[in-house]
Amino acid sequence: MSSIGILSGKGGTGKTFVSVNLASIIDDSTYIDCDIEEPNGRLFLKPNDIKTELVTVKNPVINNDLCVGCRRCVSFCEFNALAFVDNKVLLIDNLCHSCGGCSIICPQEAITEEEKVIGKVEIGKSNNTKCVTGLLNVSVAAGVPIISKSLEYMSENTIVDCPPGSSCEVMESISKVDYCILVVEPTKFSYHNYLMVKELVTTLKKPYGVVINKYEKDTGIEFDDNILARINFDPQIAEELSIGNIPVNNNKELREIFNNLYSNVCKEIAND
Amino acid sequence: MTSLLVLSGKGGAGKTTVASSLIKLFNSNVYADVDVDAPNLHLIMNPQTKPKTSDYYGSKKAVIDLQKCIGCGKCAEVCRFNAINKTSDDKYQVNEYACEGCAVCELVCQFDAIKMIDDISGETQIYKGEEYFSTAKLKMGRGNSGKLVTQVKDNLIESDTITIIDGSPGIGCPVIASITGVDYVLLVTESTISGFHDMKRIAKTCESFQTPYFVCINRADISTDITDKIIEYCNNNNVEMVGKIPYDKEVTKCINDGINIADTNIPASLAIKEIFYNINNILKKEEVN
Repeated sequence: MSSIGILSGKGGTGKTFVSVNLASIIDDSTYIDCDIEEPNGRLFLKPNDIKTELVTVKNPVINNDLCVGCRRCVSFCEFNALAFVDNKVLLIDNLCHSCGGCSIICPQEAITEEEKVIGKVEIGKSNNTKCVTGLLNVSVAAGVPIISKSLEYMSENTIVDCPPGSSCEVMESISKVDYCILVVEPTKFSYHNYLMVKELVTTLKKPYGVVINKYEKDTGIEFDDNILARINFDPQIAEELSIGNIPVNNNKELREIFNNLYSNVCKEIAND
Repeated sequence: MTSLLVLSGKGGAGKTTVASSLIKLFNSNVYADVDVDAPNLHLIMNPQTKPKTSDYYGSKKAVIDLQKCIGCGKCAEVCRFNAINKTSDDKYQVNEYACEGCAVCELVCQFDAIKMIDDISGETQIYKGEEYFSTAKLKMGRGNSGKLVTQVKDNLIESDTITIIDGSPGIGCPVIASITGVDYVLLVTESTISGFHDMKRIAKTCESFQTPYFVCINRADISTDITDKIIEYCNNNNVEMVGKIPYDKEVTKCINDGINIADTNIPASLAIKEIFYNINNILKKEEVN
């Protein structure tokens, strides 16, 4: 076995549901939550012995005693993160991409860099599963470095729970996985967003399959694709999830579905 | 014009369902979808006109001229985004998905081998009919979505009705860009441990921008325990609770059939109408003040 990325496009279709259940039925698995803006896997896995690693980026520091006001840094910055106000270079923190360009271009060596914390990675243990959570600090804009840091904990059997959408964060999250599971639900919204994620995994040449969650017949929404599993809508599962339980732990039928899903995915990876 | 942004933190909580209903109920004739990563509002508002579309240039991308590249590797060394890789013939190429367009590689290349070119990273759409609807779609794998969100908001026009904006999930770049400058935020949460957890993070985000917000709970009957906890949280933090929506199977059916919930009499619709009434009262009260 190797690593599986779980993605969906639309939020709330069941990425975390599939991820934590899958991680729970696999021995010695690693669960990595890359939905760093709103990571929820830990609410279900409830990890213990948590170690925390801070994630930092480089932030420019301007020494105004050395600055001669040439404004080369201001005009170089592609992100408009520097402004020249009151004869001083001013940094607009939230716009800075930490590219380091301003410190290179400054002829006075007036710009240095310091580490700035943007979030953290928490590593804990939940039964047989290692639980890794990337967390973006509130009011920080971009967190790709947190995703990269979280992915350093990938092991033999890894489940990567991705953010919604199909942006650069999702791309980073699945960059190292061997296989992708697209979690969908039979709704117009989900179908529309599924097409977007399908384009993403196809572009990255990742093998993938589809899990239809909250499955119902005759909705008129057809996923004409490689269907790995269908999970019926079940109010009892919804209730278990709402209070943070992992349903495969006490639902034999669902456990069977996930065991089959897992062996299907293993076969697909082996054949690839 | 007064603007109301619909957010949730957690995806799938019901932002678009609630936003589309409120657009109808407020008779809003100017509205937007800023979930540029996965826009869905058009599927339910079903605009009858063709949109005016424009390319959106989010950032630049570096391109290496292999004729000029001597393979010194200076560019790859300085790139903070690991976007420059060595090719099999010892030259260098740019990974367009990882490149953030900072131009540091162009700056350090002594052989003039790197050019920054404008990159189409998405598309904005404006529907102009009886209603005015601004939306956009980010290209797959692109970043800088906050800038596109700002563009969608800039594309809005003045209106004498309330402007409803359907937001994106999360608390990061696009959400921050969407909160900036709006008058009110409606947080749609759900009675699940995830919904509540994410609501608290997005609430903090709203607070950090000093934007007033209120809360409604979707699928409030999945866990009445958690609904109680959300209500308690709101009471303790002086946040107005504008309503609870029951789990209603008919909602999905309506959406799949392209029917706006506000046009029906299903239980969820009645609950959303009450939410509309409560928000309207808050806005009127603020106006008097």
